Amino acid sequence: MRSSSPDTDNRPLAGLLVVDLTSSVAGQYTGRLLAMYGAVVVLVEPPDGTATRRMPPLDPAGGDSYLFRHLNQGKRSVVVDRAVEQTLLADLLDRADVVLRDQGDALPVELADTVVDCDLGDFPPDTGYAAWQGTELIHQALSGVMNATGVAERQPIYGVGHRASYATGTTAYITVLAALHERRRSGLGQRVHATVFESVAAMGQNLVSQFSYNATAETRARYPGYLAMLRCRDEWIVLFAIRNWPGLCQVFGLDELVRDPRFATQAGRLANWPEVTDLLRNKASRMSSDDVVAACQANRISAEKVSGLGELATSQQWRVRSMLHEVTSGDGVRSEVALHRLFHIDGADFGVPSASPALGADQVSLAISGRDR
Amino acid sequence: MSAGPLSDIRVLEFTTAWAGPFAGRLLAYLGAEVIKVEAPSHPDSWRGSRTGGAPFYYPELDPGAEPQNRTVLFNSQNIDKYSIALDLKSPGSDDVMRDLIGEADVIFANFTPGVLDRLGVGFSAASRINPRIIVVEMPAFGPGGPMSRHQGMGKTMEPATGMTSLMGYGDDKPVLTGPALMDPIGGLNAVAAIVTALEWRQRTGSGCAVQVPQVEAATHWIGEYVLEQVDTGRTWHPDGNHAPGFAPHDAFRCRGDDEWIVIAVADDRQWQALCAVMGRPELAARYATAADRTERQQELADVIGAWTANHDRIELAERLQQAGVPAAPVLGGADIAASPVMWRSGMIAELDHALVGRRSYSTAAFRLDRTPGGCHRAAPRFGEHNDVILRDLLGYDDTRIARLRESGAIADRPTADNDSPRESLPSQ
Repeated sequence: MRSSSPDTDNRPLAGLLVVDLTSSVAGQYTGRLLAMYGAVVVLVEPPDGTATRRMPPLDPAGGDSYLFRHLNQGKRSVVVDRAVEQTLLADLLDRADVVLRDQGDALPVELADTVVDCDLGDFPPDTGYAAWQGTELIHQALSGVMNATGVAERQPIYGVGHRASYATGTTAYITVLAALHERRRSGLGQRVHATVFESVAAMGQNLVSQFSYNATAETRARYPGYLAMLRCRDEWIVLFAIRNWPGLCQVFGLDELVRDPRFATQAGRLANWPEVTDLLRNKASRMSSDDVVAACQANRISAEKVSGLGELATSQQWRVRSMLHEVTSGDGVRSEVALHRLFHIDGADFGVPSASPALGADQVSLAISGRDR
Repeated sequence: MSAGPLSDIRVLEFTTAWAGPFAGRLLAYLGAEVIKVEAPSHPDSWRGSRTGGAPFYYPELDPGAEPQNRTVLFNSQNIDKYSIALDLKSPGSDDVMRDLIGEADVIFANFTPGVLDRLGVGFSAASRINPRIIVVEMPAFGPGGPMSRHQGMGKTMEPATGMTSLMGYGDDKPVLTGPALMDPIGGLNAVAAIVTALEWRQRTGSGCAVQVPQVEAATHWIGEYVLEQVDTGRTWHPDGNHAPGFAPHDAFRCRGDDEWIVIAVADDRQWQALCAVMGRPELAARYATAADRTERQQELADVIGAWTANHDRIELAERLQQAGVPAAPVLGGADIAASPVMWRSGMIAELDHALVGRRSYSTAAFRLDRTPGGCHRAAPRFGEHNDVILRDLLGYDDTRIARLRESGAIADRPTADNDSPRESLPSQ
């Protein structure tokens, strides 16, 4: 699992300096992505450390939270008490290609016109939500996703973790790189922005358009597709049987259904899908999840187990794919597990090059490198 | 009309359904010229059937004479693209494809691994034509593992990431995200890969092959739970809307049919403010600490739910936010389509389409002050830009175009249905 640090000259974003002033999950995930593909990213923290160091899930041994580690692996850390002393920050900003900051955060110096200056916040300014406080639950409620998640007779479910913020971090990453791409043509940076509200809204399938077309909308009442979640003898599985009805019948030992007129057409199967699900559920309860998934996939029917993270982390799939690797801190003392890749570019190195930084770990080296310029 | 930052980039898109088309739509928003290539015998599955599918995918619930050009599924995910319908098995089509590749910067696809190679547009073939081409594939899983050949769809990829095991009401049954969220996650990650590959090409001078295994990439969105699991051997057990660090943190029923408000209290100050709005100051002391509130969340939920049940969710959320309590109404499609914030922030665009008229569509969240990009044109009809692409981009004359049409290399309408997932359901 241990890997050496990638050659920083062979990474797509090598040579870029990013100053990460953000305190949010979205902002720090943007920085992680930039670090993962080769930029030098400096996390600028207040004297008591950025808030994500203390946000769940927490390390029972008292170390930095797992959220902080995930968001900040590969970065460097400096501490700046911005109320007192901003020389180091001003120097970093003077050298930066990209600045990431919280919406409304004022900078101590004017940035060069070549800088891509990205601010991230919860809601777009100048709108009715500008003064609102956003959290994952709030954003999922406003997005329409929550209204369609869960069962009809119970409360809607928001999901898990910080997925809205990860959407925003990815949106900001794309925006920053697109602006850097354009900088080559114009020689100019620009101000760019990302908000959680807009990033999640952009992922809505066709909520707005479907309502515009015919005033209908999806709810939790029923998913309009060939979807089934089934409890097998051991685990849950999810299948989406858009094709190969005979194959589906065969997998579950329901061959008599192939000639059943109720299910003779796609339309018939969809109209009678609750009956199909009941039949599948009955059969699945006596089958193993691995067998069902393997048989479905052999018939080109999409199906997967509802896998827990413990099972995944030790799975052959993750091992073969090198999903996890171990990274060490800059001083070589500490190591952490990191997720390896988001995407693979042939010929390029990638992956976070180091563990998440200790608070102020790079205070001296970055101050010196600034002075030596 | 403002040029986007990728206005010097041309993309050939071989995609179907949601994840791939969503990625292409985002690239187009950023200014790229996106040419969607479809086979007449195998159009994008979200065009649905030639005879029409579920009514709620069509304007005024009517599939009309050309349902494959009128479905909201296709039309919402293919905004701002050009369409060419090319049958790669017909004479002359390989020349067209070669010429298109020669003019392109990026090819991307969300087909099963190997399909691009079989079509002759995989990286090894395409890079012989154009050494600077970037070829991006979006398989469900990457190569090599036991799941590498699995058929992946949005709804089945989510449980494979581990996300679904972290969601539920606290009983044994997991809960899937309602919309197939893995699709837009895959699309976003694919665009992230493409803009990164453009930087890589700038460094190397050469094109490259790129893989975006959608399940692996989405796992990063729950990365903190993965790290916790690996380090401690345990992680979050789903418990409805409860979340560590918040209490109360839930949806509460409001006045009306299936109307809800969410409230997310992170600290004592917010809790005291909530109690003040409720007119129940005694509760502030009774559940004074985060530990109290976390331990007695169900008791709290009963009290808060009894109060919210008599209120309008939108008015109440506004009152709570003004008082410093994070809260929001749970919105559905009708609310969002009419949301002043959506309109004000540019998240909705009205576009004219020849067969469906002027309709509203959600846009993208990229905000660049100097090169903003945007949504400008409705989705293309099947093969709508055949002639424009062949004549204006590739320089073919009318005779050659007529010959291609005659041979069936290009087509103006689909010659087959695809496996539309949603037929004949009653409208909701």
